[in-house]
Amino acid sequence: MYLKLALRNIRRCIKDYAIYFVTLLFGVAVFYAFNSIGGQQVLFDLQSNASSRMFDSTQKFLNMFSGVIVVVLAFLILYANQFLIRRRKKEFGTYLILGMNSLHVSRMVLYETMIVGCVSLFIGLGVGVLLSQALSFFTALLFQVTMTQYQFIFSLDGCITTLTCFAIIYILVALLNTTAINRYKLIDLLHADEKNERTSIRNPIACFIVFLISLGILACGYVLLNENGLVMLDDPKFFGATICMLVGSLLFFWSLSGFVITVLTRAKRIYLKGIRPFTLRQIASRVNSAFASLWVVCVLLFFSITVFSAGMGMIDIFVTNTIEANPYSATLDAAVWYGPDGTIASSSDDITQRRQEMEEGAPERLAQADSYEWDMAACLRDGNPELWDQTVATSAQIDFYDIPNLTYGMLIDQVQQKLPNQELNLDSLGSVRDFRVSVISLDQFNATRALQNQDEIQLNPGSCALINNLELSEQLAQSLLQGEVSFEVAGKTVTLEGPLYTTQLEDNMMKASTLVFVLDNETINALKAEVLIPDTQRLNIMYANNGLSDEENDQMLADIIASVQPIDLGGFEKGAAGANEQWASLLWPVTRLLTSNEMIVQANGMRLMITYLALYIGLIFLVSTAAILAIQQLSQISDASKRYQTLYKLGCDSRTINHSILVQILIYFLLPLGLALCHSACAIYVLTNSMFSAFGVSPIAPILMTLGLVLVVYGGYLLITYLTARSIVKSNLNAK
Amino acid sequence: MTEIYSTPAVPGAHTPLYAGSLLSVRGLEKVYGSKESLTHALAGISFDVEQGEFVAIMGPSGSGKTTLLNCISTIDTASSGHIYVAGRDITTLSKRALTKFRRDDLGFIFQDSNLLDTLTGFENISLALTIKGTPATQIPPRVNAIASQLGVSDVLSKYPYQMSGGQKQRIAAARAMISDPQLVLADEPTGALDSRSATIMLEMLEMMNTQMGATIMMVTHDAFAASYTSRVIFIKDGTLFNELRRGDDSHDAFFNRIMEVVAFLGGEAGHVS
Repeated sequence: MYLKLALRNIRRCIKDYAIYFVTLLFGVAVFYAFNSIGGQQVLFDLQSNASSRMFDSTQKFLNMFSGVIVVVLAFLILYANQFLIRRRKKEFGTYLILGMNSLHVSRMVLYETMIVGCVSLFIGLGVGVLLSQALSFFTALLFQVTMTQYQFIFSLDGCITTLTCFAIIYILVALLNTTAINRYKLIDLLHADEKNERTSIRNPIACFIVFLISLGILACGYVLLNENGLVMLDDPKFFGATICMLVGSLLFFWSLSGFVITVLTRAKRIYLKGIRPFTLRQIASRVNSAFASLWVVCVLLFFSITVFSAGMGMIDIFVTNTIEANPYSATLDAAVWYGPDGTIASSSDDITQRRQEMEEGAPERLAQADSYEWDMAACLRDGNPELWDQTVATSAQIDFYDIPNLTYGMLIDQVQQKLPNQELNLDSLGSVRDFRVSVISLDQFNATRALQNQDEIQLNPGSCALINNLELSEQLAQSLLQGEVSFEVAGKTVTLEGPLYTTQLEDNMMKASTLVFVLDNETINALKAEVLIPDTQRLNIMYANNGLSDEENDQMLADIIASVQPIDLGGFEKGAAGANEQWASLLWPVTRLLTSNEMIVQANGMRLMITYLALYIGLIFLVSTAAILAIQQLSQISDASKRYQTLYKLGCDSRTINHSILVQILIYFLLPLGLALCHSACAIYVLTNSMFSAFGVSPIAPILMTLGLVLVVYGGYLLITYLTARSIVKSNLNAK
Repeated sequence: MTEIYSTPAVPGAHTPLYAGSLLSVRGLEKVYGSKESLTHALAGISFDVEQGEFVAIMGPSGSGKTTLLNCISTIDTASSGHIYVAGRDITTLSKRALTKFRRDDLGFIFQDSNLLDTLTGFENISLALTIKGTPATQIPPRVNAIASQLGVSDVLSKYPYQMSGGQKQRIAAARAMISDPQLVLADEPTGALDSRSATIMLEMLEMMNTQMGATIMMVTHDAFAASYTSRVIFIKDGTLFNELRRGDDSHDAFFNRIMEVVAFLGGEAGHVS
């Protein structure tokens, strides 16, 4: 019998709370879809380990964030459920009066929760499975792979995760419901809807002061965030900003209604018009009690908006320039003495001593390099000449030298003297002032340019050229050119002449040529005599047109390296060891290998991961907050339907009433959104300054995308809430 | 008085309208239910209320009192028949005109006062004016004036939950009166009050009628409340059953006459069942 009652109750409720059930379904579906992305691998012909590694790490990240998502969804479900239960107090009272005991009522509610849970879980899973099919096409688009063969995919892992998480949430809901019902007193249940709404009146002056304080705290938080730059997240300033944001927002909502209503009621001319007094009191009476939920909604919205727009911006950082940043088939780095990750630095600061240090620290490597006259290609070709000729069409080596006793700081000083008002953007360049000036020879630069089919350049006597394509140092590079800096190298003075060259000197995630000077060959030779060994060396390779795929050529290149420096080769190791297990990472000839193919796969993987994370978090948070507001508004408006009836009897037409409802819903939806947008604007402004602008990424596109998402999801919920509320009130007006 | 006595006791469905009559109900019918089981809540009732009258409608429960009130207040629509207010047939008005009619020509006093619990007394009273679009500057003096007439000046800044039942009803009365309606409809205004508050409320309604010139139609089942009016219309089974005029009777005398009819109605009802 209880089961039958439960079923009937659900049928009745579904009409009223369609929005809640739809949100539940959506939650389950999205949760499953994003937890099953790993299963999509089978659809794609993933040629490399790198690709499937990216898939796995994307899934790992999504799973990690699923923890946060579960908490948010649990909050949503518990909150909504508490609302539904509270609204049914009178019904429970009737059951108790009819002779059911609270155990029976609890059992009935338990059945209800279980049925709703199971139905929403299974339908949600079904929708989720369909959604994940659609998502796999999207994955193909993002990952830029072709779907070899479409097949229906079902992820058991995703399914189990979803079932477990939601089962836990529903059990929690059932427990809370039963304890809540047992706690109620019969008298309170029966008189639940007769309770007078007591509008607690706060001292408006105190509220105004608190409001000012909250603005102060928020401003303080914004300043702290700006100082933190949102790059270092374990900085106390970041914690400070977070706490300021949380506390400031809470006080903001707490104090807002208290004084706004007082100010408005004083302004009789504005206040006493139409049913404004009613509308305003209606809003204020709820802000007084609902400030906590407004606060939660605001915080979640802020998080959702910021994560989504920051994520979309990051994609640009990683992806925009991938093709331009990887002009060569592969780049092989030799750390020489300074490892690329600098695990063991030179013991003395005098770079003329480095050969000495290397001789002591890594004699085999120095001997090997000397025997090949520091020619990386010659050394590698010796390892497997046949394979080398088959794989490599052309190659060009660049030796980077540091000029002793000349740092970029000295050049910056020159510029600042000549052009005192120039903006150099030094803040975001870190310790660039302390770095030694890096130079390469004209011949090697031209050879490298030739690999990219760029034309040969000439240097005027006594002049040098500058290469830079890193957005971050663009301004400084232009200033150096404008200031026509000159410096002394190997006893000779050279002066910088334009134009600025933007040749990418390696394969990298992004455009990474940073303030490299080009000197004529004689000067470089003189410098070589002074510093004895290069700082680092780089060999850029173009694969032969041998009919093999990039993937296969990458493998052959790795084989060549392995033949020169097999994995079990002893000796001094340093650098990015362990990145590739096929060969030992050595100081010379190869410390690190980057291939264009791998970089592009990685960039696509990054795009996949960030897009999905941003979508997942952004969507779930946005939908949850919108659903919370919708449920809250709908139940409050249906609670107040008697008041609308009174208004109607007093001669208020339904248009005025609808307008009042719209204003109430709009304020409740837009108030938290407004504050959240302010917070997000601050966060995105900070991110733009600290990160996006440095990478030449405009925040406009991510902001527009985010606004679009908010408009569709949040606006959609707002619209549905208004239409539903209107029909609830309308049906109450017609019924007497 | 002679004028009143000249009105026929029971007008028919086609009795023409009288010049002095503010409210004329003609052959009003209200049918509920489906084809199989029809309920005639109102079975062709006709009567008139003069300008400046204070009329009570009495009848046992189920007699159609509330349906009648709902039809006159345009909250419900009649199945057939006509209702004329100041010569205008309100049964043919459009929805929009009905809203305007309720707003401009009617004042309501409900049994449970129906004050909006989120608004103060002042705001509740002023709502009747703001809905009409009265300029904001006129509102405070008018609210204060009516509040002092009805003795509720000291509760204007209070919320309904801070008021007594009698104060709430008087605020409701002030809300009904402030827009100078043609007709004030009161639905069991003393129903939820103790006898002392009820007496104050009734004296106030009487004062509104005699001094402020309000035409009041009150639905009640309480003979004591009805004895404050100048005429009592008894209805039963949706038709006019009887009519009593107070004439020059004292409260007590009129009360006794009303009680006789009530006893008769109750006795017959008991007999039928």
